[in-house]
Amino acid sequence: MSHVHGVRKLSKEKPTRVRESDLGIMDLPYLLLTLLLTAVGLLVLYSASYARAYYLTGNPAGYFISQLIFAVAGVVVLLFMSRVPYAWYRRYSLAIYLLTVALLAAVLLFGTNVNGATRWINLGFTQFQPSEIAKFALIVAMAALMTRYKEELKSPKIFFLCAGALLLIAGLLILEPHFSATIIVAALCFCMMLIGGINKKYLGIVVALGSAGLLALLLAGGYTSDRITAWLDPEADPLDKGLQILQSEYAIGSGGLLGLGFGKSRQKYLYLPEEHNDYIFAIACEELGFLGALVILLLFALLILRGFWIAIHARDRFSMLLGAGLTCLLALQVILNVAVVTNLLPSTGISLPFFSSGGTALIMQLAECGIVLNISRSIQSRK
Amino acid sequence: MRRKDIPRKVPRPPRKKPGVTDTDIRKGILALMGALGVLAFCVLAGRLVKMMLIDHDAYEAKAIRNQTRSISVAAERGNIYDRNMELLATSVGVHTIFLDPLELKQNAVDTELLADGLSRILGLDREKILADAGDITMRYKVLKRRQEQAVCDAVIAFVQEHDIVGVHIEPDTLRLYPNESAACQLLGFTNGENRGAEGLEAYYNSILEGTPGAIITAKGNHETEMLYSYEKYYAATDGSSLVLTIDLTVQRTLEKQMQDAIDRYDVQNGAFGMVMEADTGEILAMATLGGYDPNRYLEIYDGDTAAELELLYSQAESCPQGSDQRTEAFALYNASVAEARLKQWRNRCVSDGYEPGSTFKVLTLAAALDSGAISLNDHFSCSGRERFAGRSQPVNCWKSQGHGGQTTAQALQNSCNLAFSHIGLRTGGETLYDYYSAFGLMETTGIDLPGEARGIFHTRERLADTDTNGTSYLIATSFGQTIKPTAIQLVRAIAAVVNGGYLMEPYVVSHILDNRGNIVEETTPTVLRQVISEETSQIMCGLIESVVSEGTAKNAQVAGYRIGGKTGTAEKTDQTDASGAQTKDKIVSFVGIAPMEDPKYVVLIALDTPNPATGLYISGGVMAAPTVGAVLEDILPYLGVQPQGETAAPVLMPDVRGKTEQQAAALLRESGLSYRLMGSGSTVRSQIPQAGNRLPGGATVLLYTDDSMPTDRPAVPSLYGMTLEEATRCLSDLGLYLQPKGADPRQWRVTAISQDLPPGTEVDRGTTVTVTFADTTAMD
Repeated sequence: MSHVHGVRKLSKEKPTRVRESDLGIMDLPYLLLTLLLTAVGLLVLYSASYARAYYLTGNPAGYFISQLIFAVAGVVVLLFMSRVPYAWYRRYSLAIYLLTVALLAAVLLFGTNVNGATRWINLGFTQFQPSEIAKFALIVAMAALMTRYKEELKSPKIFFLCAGALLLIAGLLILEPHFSATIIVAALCFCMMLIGGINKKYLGIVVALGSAGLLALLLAGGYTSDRITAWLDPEADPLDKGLQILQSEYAIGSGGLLGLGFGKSRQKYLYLPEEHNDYIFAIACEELGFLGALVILLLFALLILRGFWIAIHARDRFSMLLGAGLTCLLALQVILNVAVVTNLLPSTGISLPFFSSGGTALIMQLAECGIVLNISRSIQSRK
Repeated sequence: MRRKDIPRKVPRPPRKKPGVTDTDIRKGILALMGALGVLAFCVLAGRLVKMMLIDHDAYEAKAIRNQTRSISVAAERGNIYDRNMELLATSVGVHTIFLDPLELKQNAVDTELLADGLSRILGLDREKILADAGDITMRYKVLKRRQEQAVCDAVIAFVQEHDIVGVHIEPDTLRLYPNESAACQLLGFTNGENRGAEGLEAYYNSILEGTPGAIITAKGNHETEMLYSYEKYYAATDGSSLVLTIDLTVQRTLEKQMQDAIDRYDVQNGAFGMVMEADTGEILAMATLGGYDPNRYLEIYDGDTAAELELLYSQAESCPQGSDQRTEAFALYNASVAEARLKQWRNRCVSDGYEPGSTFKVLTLAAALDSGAISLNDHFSCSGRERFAGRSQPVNCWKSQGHGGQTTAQALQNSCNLAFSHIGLRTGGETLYDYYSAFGLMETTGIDLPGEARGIFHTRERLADTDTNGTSYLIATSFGQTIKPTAIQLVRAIAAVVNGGYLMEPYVVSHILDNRGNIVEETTPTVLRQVISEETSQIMCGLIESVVSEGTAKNAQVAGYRIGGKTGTAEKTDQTDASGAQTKDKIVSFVGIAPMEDPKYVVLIALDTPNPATGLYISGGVMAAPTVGAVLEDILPYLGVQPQGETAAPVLMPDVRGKTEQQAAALLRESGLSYRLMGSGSTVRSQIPQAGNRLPGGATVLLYTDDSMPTDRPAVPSLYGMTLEEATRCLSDLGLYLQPKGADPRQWRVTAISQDLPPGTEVDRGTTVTVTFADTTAMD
């Protein structure tokens, strides 16, 4: 199957060289689902952010316009990325990883502090979250590592390499602190190691350590355990710690089968904090009802299934892992976000891809979809 | 690396080969696909089903509560009317003016300017307003309550002129009692929260207060308006109004006569009384004197008590600051104030038992006759003092020389204790108790007033089992001692004696009107049971009437009416002086019934502790009977009961000036007057009294045909203690007329006790003086 070469370069397996002309067209269902979700996301954001935008700026379309600009830019980026050969990520995986580490370090040094967390770098025209890059960089690095050492996947070396790559980034994220991103990258790495074929023994250890760590956090009390309390019994403190989850529940629950109608949410009138952001799905439920929410979930599920389908059919190990990793990232974000909004899990602060307000995240998401589309083109080319 | 084979066709790699095949990877991705792409979404969808479909209603309700603001809309409290729709209690809209000191500060309001303006408009101390405005820990500082619209308008104008933020006005209601203290304990009052606290206001509070409404508005969290907001208005349901069986005129008459009696006899501890319709149990009037004005129910109205409280307060004030002594003194003061208030608020007719004395003999006799234990033909002899088996103390009759031999009727007329001791013993405790019980003395009457007491009575065993308990209780009870029924219990029982034997459920509210004036509820008379037969009732009526016509209650007589009744004089057994000995305090009472040809009204008046210093003999006959008589005299014509027989009803003097003697004589004859002609002219030049003056029927007027009519103004003499003959002569000497009132003045021992024009008043000749006569020697 593959040939064993020297260990001089990460790119031990020769990158598949595919000429642009060899490539097929993009996977149309994936593209359409992406664009559809972007459009629906924009509309829901418009409605959800209406009241707060009006209250804060006087312009009810404020959030929408800015998001629209990013969405247009994001689609351009998507189209561009779909033409960038994925093999480049493998080739430059080390550089991407190191650049990300540098960016994360830069955030700690030069970032803007918002509510006690330093997560943003001010680029002048917009704010930028390196943690978004970090998720991508980690997927690339893991995919590259597991492709490079595909013959030694069961050895401890590869496990420690992967774990090291994760721990460095996770450590920097915790310093910000940015727990939601940490959880995402950790879960992401776990999934990738699982499909990548790392020795299950080590994964068992990781799970054990992770659980122990989580338990320790809870027992330590403070910020995290407050969230747990609010999760289990939001009505115990309805005006402070339980406020957000309670208001979210009211929004979702009052939606009913058909919802109050698009634009007619009541909870968005400054009752539900972060209604245009992490909790946008609650407003979608309130306005569009159970059927509308189900359609949104279905669109996400189809996009994710299609993403995995592309990964399964990818032509080489790296693109398989890269495609699966990117799809995993999307899936984890969607599932964790909806689970939090519906109070299945304690509040974490994970935004909903395509929906939540935020330029960097949207552009990154569309760029990642562009990469998956690029992978799909190589499948097409074979036919 | 280009792969030529498709995954499924790749042969399973040899087991020993290290590493992981692409197929393994694909399988892993497939598993993840199932987990993240299908399973997880199913869980999420399931969660949405639970929240959005199953628990939808609960969440929606919480969401609506979350998003809406409710503003209460006050319901107007219903009015209280008397039976003729005279207003007894009503509500008016007023306003409370208050400051929000924090808001004042936040808006940098010039509090000096504010204090200047508001102190002028509201008549408040400027410094107090400044202090209130400076207390920024508060958000609600009331400046003045219960202000009328005009004052509010002035405040609003001032606030707007100076652009002040932080002065607020909120609506409130004020309960008004236009008749002040009339029927005060019956009506009760509303407290600071506009809830009924006493009397009918409390008993019927839920009906009077109505249901407050609400305006429910959906609002954003920062009170922002919503784009798609909704508003719902739930109208307040105004309270219903009560129409009472009370007749304000009767109530006022009762209260006036009771007050006159209190003044006349220097009654120490107030009085209580009522008028009940015998056939229905309707209360026409119910009063407790020593009352209050429900418009200002916290004030103490009894002068002596108020002075005592004043003293207590100044004593407490004089104690050093912060000392225990001071705390105790103020605690005593506060407790005394509370006690005094409770006392003046108390409706003694229903809330307290009292000593009925001999009025109770009516019930004993009714029971004895109805059970057949005695008959009208029985004879009782009274030696003034007698010993009974089973009783250690001898029974004394109030008339120590004794009544001698008496018929049953005379026993009641004389109110003879010895005769009633025999009647009680003959009837037996068991039978008596059962009758008393049937008369409703062991139960509350069920009148629609709060705080009804049950009275105090002996157990059946105590009266019945004379072997164990002796005869003492039975004998005492027979003539109305050692027991304390409430006034309402006694009046109801006596009503049953005279109305054919039917025990009624008394009531005060005749019907309830909704806010549009429709009758929503009407009280109909309720017969609880028949206690005695119609025949016994008939007999009792005759006996009761004879007490007034021939017995101890002559003072209750009213000319032209057949009145019945029974007097009562009782020592207050629970009053002790400083040494612990029982005081000589007495409670005197009279139950009057009229008209006796068809008993319609039962009137009770009890005077608590007349002062012996007046020198009058303290008894129901002397004091309570004429009071009830005066009430009946006023209310019977008002209530449409026509006087019968010849009465010296006052007539109007016609104008006969310019007439010949013949013409004048004809006119005067029409009015039932006779005349005496003075002078020798042909026509009448002047007359005494002047045309339009009232004078007793049958009186002789003076006509002058010349200018000899005297024009001097004689002074009214004091007629106290004179017989009718003496008083008439005394007045006619001065050219004045006498209109008698009260007990039949032709009877033995009846003398004048009061007159409407005080002695010394200078009046025109021909003026009529109304003189009240009574038997001041009447006892018991």
